[in-house]
Amino acid sequence: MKRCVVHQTLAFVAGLAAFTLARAAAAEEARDESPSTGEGAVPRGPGGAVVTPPESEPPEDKPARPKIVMPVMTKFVHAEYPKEAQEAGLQATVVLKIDIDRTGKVTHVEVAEPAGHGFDEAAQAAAMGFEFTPATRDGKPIPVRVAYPYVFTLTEVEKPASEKAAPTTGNLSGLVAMSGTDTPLAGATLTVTGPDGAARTASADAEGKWSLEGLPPGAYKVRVEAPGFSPIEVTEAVAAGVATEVKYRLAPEVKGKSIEVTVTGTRPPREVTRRTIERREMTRIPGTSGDALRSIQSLPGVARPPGLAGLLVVRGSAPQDTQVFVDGAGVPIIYHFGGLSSAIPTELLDKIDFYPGNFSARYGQVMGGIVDVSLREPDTRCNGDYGKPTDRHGCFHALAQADLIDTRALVQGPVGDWTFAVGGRRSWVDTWLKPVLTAAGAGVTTAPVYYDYQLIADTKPTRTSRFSLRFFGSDDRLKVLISDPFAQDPGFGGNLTFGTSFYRAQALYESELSRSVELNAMMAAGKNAIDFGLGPLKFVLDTTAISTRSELGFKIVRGFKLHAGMDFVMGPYDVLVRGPAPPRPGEADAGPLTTRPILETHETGTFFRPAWYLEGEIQPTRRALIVPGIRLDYARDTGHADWAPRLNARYDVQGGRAEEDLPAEERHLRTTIKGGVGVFYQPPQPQETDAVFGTPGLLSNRSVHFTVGLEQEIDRHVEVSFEGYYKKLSNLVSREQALSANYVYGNAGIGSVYGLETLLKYKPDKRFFGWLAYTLSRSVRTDTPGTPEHLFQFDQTHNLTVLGSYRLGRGWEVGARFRLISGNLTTPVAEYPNLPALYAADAAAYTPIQGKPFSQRLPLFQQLDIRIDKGWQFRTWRLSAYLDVQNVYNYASRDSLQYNFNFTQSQYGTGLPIIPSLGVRGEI
Amino acid sequence: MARSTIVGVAPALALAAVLGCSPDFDPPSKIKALRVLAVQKDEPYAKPGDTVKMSMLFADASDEAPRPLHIAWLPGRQDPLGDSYLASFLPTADKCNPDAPALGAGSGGLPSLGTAGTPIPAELERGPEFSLPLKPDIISCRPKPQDPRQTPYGTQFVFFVACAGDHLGFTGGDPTSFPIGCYDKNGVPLGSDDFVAGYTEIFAYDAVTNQNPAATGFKVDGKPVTLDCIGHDCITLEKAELARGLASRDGGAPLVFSDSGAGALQGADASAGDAGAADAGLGGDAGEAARPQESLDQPIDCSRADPRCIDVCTASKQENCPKHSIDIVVDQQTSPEHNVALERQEGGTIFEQMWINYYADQGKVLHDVKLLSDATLGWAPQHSAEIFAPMEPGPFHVWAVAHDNRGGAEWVRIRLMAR
Repeated sequence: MKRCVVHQTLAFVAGLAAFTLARAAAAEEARDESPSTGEGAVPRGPGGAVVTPPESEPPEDKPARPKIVMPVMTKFVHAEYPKEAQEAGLQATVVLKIDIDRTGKVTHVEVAEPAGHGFDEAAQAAAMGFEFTPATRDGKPIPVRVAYPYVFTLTEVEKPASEKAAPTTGNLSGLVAMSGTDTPLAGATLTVTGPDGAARTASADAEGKWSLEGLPPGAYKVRVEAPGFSPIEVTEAVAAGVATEVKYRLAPEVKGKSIEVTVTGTRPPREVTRRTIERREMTRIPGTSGDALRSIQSLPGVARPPGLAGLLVVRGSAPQDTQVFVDGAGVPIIYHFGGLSSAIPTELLDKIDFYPGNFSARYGQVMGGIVDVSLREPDTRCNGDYGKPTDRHGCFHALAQADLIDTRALVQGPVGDWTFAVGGRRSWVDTWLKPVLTAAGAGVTTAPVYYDYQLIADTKPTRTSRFSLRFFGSDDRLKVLISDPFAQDPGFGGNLTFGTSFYRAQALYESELSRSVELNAMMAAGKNAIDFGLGPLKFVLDTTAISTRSELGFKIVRGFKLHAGMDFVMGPYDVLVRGPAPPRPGEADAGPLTTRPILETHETGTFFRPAWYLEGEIQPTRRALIVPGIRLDYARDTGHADWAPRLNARYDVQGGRAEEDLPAEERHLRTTIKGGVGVFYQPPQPQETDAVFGTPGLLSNRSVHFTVGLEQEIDRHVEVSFEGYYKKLSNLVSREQALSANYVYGNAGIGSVYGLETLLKYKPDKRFFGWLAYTLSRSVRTDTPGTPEHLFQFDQTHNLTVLGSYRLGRGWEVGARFRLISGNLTTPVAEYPNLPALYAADAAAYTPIQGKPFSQRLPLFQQLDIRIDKGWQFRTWRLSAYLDVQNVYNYASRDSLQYNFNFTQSQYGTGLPIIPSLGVRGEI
Repeated sequence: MARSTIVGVAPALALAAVLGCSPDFDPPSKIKALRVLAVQKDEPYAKPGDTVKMSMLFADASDEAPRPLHIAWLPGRQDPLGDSYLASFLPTADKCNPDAPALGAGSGGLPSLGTAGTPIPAELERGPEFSLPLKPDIISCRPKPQDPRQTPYGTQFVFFVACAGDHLGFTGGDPTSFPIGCYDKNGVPLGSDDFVAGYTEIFAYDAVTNQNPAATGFKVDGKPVTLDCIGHDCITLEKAELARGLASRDGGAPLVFSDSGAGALQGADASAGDAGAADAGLGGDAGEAARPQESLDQPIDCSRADPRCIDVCTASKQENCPKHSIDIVVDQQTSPEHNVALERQEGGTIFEQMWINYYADQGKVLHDVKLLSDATLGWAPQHSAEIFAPMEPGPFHVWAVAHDNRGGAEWVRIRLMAR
């Protein structure tokens, strides 16, 4: 996760690296106290980028690379603080692009990320006065462009002495950075020895910040060390009641005649396609009410599910073919009430990784896609007045939010060496829906209500490890007496109970055991419960789920890394199913449920599905990555083991990692070609192998994925990608006729899916994010040999999504999403002169005589959603509100084909009307 | 059921059911044309070898009514594949159907039973009543249930057609076509207003039984009213009414049911209508059910305080018309029965799921399907519907059919007068 953050700020690194190379000698000052009083613009670098000398790499292994010396600032000019902003208490960071010529003069300054309020002009004017030493390549001066964050901060006014208590200790805090730059040195160690001889230590965080509090007054000897850098020793005076802030700069150790710097970025993904939704995006996508997991439906390759159903239909696969993980642990549901909102609130998510196909060997047992949700580390950063960011950590945050659906609260903060987050949410749909249901004739015992809860505790036992404990869960309840059963199937009536719940206790450990060995381990245990009843129908599932996922990564030699991992899920289960046998694939409508024989099974047992995998990362050059892998899955419930070999590869034709060391102006825009082929298995659904409802001994469904693609950077913020895919499906669970005069399940179904995904994306910056996603696809099935091929139920030929969100300033942000998608498929009924339906007299309802399965497509779907956010920053808290309007122009999308009682008349059923949603949030 | 399907779809389905997101169609309770309302078996759960008697409740509110009806019955294979009605005519032999005839070219869908346009054999037309002997091996020929706790059963579908056209004929080999069609004098196929095809399913158990619900009366606005008929008496009554209607229209006794098979009704028995229905008064859940006490030839006397007399609606929209409560009386002492087969597996108490369908040929019924018993909660005491008064004066009919989810059915019919 850290590396990803680093990647996001890669652009900053280009600029920051400008200040990293020279001044290796002792000419640089080792200590630089920051101003403690007065007002003014203070240059300060952002955290996130880590620059490390690669001392572990033997020089002879390295490819020949040009030796770059970046410019070093020799003159800094203070910008004039905009008066209005100063009076309003505003602070800002303006990211500049500074062009420096061969002589070190600034020739052009451009605002890359504006902040408004006069900050941009002030920063631009000041930067034109900067002076630098020239950058050189192999000793020759070269022109460069660097990114520079110009930070405007206001210094707090000292409180009157009369208001202060008489302190007896003082604080010492500050920042460790590389000499000649503001690039922070994460992990630098500070040893502070006081007048009494007692030594205290502190470690610089990712932003290079550190602090020691409660120091008795006196002179302190401070030693600052970081691997690959020359240590320094200084003496600091600590006075009672004074917070002394210091800044230390360490010079890189010189090895040989040149200095080589490696900028750490993101490792290329092991998958052909990984789509990541970042925090900035997941909370602001219009039409989702800020619900992160619903934002997945705006990505390429994800079909629009029918109606309200919260299903993930990925690349023409069935909903059950896609698995959702929370940091590697599978969860039974991701949406409350099938799509109302996510079971894990957005505030606790760090990012969502979505793999629509050809995923890594670390995932298995599904043949569609993977969604892996990462929970965030608790936030303990401290803010100053008016939300001003500070260098300190160890503060508490609290959040409360209410909208039309639910209310939630979240508290984050530190406890000793740990950080924690605890949150909870409860819907209040029941307060307004219960009267509606009652008025509609339903006897409501429990109106729809859901809860979810989360607890996260994180610590970092060492500089290179992280240990996280989580406990999270969800509970949905509904109990209604339907006294007016469905006329078209009176079996849907009576006492409706619906309850789903799960909880997980999860431990996560990530560590670099050595410079060549990494360990990622996850273990989770918890319960899943589903209780569904409707009249005589019943489904009760109680499962204790224990899962683990561990991976060791070995750097075998330079350019080759091996991952070895295992995962398994196991646990006892107790399931009761009472109802008619579900239709088998390709089976026509067997008539109203009311008239069909009710079967029942009550099973207890222990499921066990272990898996092992090996996956390599081969980098023959810095431009290429080849990822071969193999996975072995075993399912005790079916008694079968499946070997799944996979191969993914990507190659940077230009740009990319191979050019990361070059100055920004000399780098090419990245062009990457990629491809993959792999085998994926998915065990049959439990009911398909059940002795009563299904056929024991079925094999796993099988799918072979092929993907080829191209990624092309258009500029720093814009990238376009194309992925063509083909999936060959076989061994699909199907219906077969057995000699025992009954139907059974078999593995005779086949199918294929092919398509093209296009994503034109503007990566998030401080102002804007957005994308255009278009998917062209076709998904077909042949249920049993000899029957005609038909379109898959969820096939959608065209799927276009355009969305964007823009920060206007003064706390305003507006966004819009527009979708234009092929209509859903439906199975038509017979037409005159044939009878459209038969009267099932025992049910007093008609059952349709169906035509070719899913052969009729409903009209095109379209919808425009907008979202408006407004924030108000107060001295100690922030208030924000949003208005999210789905289907702004109230388009009556034709989502289904509805029939009258005897199927002689039909008309379109329309989708959701305009739905405004208003939310308010307060954060301290 | 797949877990993901339940989790994903069930809540939305439930809300849709409760909120009633239905488009603006005529409800199934509105009788405007030929309709089959129910089929009653004298043994909803039969024993192997029993003969099951079936009777069909029909109504024809077409502008062209009264008109002759052709009613035919067609038993399918016993124990069809997958217990599916769709497999009832498969031509292949198996253990349960060792002498299955080759019925035609149907493959995958519905079968062909004969050349398109050919009239069906006359022996298939048997009027609104039909008897079928079950084979003694209807249970034993099936594979034993995988779960030994599951009670073994056998099943057989019986198809029926009701045609208000000239004749019934075969439709040919189109797998999306029901094998029998209804044609006018010119051989043009008739649609759903004149032709109803359907099926009923007979279950056979060795020891489990099921009784039809016991309807005993009817209330309008909470007051018991005189019934036209209950149960099988309604079949006799409707046959007689149809015969009388045709006789008065055509001036002679017509061939109502062109049935040469068993139970054929040649000509009309016009006197049957006067007899009304059964005579014994049965106690309903209110103990005050009324029985037919009058000749159906006579109009309802609205000069007396008869709750069957309601004011005609003078509003411009049906939805603004006065509403009246209508409520079938069902004997709570015998309904609902325990669903023994399921109770044996799971233990505990599981009742029959029961519901009522209300129908009317004038006015508009609100809440036309009502729950009568829930499988887990049992009896639902509030099961009345409402009817908006008609906008035209005159007599009209209301039917109520009580169903259970094990193939049981019972009905009553009343007359109302919009004055």
